[in-house]
Amino acid sequence: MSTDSLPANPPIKVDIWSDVQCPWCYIGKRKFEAGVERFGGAVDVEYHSFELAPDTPVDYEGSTRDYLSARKGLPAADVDRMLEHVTGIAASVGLDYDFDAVHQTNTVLAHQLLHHAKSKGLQAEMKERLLRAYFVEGAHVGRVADLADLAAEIGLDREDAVRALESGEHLAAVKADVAQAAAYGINGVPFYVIDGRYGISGAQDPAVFAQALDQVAAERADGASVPSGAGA
Amino acid sequence: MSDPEVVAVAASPLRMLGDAFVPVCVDDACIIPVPSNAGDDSRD
Repeated sequence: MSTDSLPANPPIKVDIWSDVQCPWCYIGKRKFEAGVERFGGAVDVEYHSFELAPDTPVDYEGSTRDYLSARKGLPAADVDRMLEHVTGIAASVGLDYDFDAVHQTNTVLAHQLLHHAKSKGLQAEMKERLLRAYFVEGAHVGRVADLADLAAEIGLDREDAVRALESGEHLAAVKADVAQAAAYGINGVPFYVIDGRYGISGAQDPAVFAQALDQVAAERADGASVPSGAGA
Repeated sequence: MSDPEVVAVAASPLRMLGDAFVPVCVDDACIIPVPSNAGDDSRD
């Protein structure tokens, strides 16, 4: 279209650490997307793995309420109140969380699937599909067969996804993401690294993301307009 | 060779932007940090 006449601004890279079972990550995703829309420029998003509870069994028996009560020693009524609060905030950004249906599980395979999808150019689609499956549909996102079904839904080859998950092909990439988060000092998610220089923690308002992206774009423009002394 | 090699790239310090008191998940606890004069974190 008219892009030929626009200056060739490379997209701003945004690295996002998150976990599939992080309720604020899905809410933050919607807020970030709204921020990007407000920004209006090109953004290149890459999701990275962060395991909030790597010791959770794949087939955890019990509800989210049971899980949080057991892990945190909280009364069920308190947990219910918290989940209602999160559900309300999710609804405010258009997400219909159903904690009664959620299957608490281990997400290391889901993270490997995200890396597999990235290698096929479908990471964004896989991320959205996994989050919706977990929080909205009550699908299981910890087992190879269930994950492969979700992979096939977004256009990945099901058998290839099974192969990648069963072989642990992307496990090293997951662990590298976790190590990279530690290197940045990230201890909670969602966490956004913009242009490799700015960090944003948590499910911030869209305006925060838009402002940060505007700032990076402005700095790039300033840098481009300042003579470097190296010619050209 | 069964253990994958984990390689983290050295990371430059990040300049933090945004509100410090927003929802975030740490370990398996998802919290909304609140200013210290308002008491403990409210957990969600």
